[in-house]
Amino acid sequence: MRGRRAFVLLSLLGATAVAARAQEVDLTRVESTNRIMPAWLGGSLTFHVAPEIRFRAGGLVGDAAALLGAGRQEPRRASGQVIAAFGVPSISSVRFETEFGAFRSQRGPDIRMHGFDGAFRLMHQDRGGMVWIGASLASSWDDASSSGDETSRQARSLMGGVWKVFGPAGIGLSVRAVEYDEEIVFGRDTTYEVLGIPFTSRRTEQIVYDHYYVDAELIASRRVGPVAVHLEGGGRLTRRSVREPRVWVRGGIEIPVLPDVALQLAAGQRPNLPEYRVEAGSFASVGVQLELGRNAWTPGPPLVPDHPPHPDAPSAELRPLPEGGTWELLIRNVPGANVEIMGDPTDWRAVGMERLAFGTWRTVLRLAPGTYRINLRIDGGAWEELPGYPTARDEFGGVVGVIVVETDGG
Amino acid sequence: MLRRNISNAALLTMLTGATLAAQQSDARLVGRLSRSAVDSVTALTGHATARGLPIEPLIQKALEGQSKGAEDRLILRAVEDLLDRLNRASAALGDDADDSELVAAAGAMHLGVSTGTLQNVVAAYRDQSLAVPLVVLTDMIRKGVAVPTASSVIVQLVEARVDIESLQRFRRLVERDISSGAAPGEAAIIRARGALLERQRGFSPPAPEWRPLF
Repeated sequence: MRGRRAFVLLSLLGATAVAARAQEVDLTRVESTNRIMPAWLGGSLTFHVAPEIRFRAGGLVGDAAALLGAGRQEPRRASGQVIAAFGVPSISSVRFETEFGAFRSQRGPDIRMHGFDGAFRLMHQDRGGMVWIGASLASSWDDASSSGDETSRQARSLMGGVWKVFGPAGIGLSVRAVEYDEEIVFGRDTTYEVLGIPFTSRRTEQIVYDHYYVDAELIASRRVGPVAVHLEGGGRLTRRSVREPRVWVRGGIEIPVLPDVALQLAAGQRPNLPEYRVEAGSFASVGVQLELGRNAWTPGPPLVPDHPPHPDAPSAELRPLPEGGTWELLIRNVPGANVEIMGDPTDWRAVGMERLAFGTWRTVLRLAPGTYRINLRIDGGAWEELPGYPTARDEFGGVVGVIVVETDGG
Repeated sequence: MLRRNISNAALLTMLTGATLAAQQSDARLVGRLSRSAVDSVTALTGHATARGLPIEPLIQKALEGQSKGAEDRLILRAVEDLLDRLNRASAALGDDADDSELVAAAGAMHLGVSTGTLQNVVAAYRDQSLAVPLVVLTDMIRKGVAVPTASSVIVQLVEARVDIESLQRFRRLVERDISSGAAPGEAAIIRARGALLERQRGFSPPAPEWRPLF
């Protein structure tokens, strides 16, 4: 238990990774709300607690100068965020994931913004790619400022997209429709005198705005060796004003630097996210992502020292011949007067092998890429598995050898 | 349910010659199986074709049974079972699965591997052929490794992107350990640790996959 606690503690410490600041800094590919605020200290952690269950958590802290009470005075901005996500993918190819976040930011000398958001997504994922839908809810509010105004915002998002894999590359389309409303409450005290006696009255006024916008993003990703390169281009399909940027582009790369640790570099533009009071702008970031527990087993010494198989042990080898689709099956160290094989390649008819030397046998098979089941028989005995090859149980009380051919040979 | 449907259909097909007239029996079956067995296998391959499943493994299964001296009843049950497993494997692996992967998956399911495990292997091994990991999984189970242990080991290995050569070497080492007297589960786990350690030394971890942003 102590070991597990220490592991979690070390993991969380490791998650507080450093990102260097350029114009504005953002860990764009870590979690959902990372993209809504500039930050220069942040990181994320994915912890595999079991093959089927993973837990992801991250944190961001914004302008350190503001946090420390030094540096620029106007505007000051500090942001804090805590997020968590988990997924349970094992039940079927449909995977459910959810994440929650909370944030707080300092906007100017006396305006503070608080908020939280939560989201879930449902995805169908297989080797060809992924289709997903999701929804999120967000709420944020400003503390009373010197002007006496109080505002709060409620945002609801519906999202969906597709992702198609083409070997080491992928391309996807993601669409996000956001509706949010803003409630502004003006509170103003008025003092007046009647017959020399002061009276104070409070007048409040409430204004509710309703807004709506739709974003679409095209995402391309390619893996070059261990490095992943991402490029995202987005556009706002609805605009409230001509000053609002219509398109944005950002890109990034993820470079594994150690097992379970990747370096993230990203730069580009960020769209206007009015429900979070985030204005469009550019950013550049450097971040670290940790993914611990993926290989949670501690490597140990092998049970039996590795040594080459005994040179006299029976063995089988399948070798391609120059003619495409033709393979030579060699059996070695099998003494006998007669060796036969039968299996899928022979339509389960026994075929005698050619004797090359004492204990060495050969036959030629035509094999397209595929999985084949083969038995071997020595001097009319029982049908056996192929020595050195994987085995499977047949339905007739015996065992077969299994050969996987992955190429046309040649 | 599928099996019952198949049995009913096979029976119906045997009883009505009309459908048979429209289906061509595989020439390799004729003369090696009884006439009724050929008709039943032909009906089952018709079902496979209708579902987009490969028919060659079914024919090979019938031929294998005949070569091994099995009775017709046992042969038909084996072919039926294989069709059922191919159908479930196809649902688990998705439309992109090729015949080789389906056959390997059906072999694993024959030894008790669940569709959930198959889907985990699919998710982890997205851009490579699944045939070798599934054959290694089947081999481990046949040699005595418990199904949950073997499944977990294979999912861990494929998630770590252990390559085909390393998987085959892992299988050979487990086989050697077991033949030397080691407990199968222990051999599988310890050799898996070794393969993962080797993977870390080789250091080419996968790039994180793309995730949709909220």
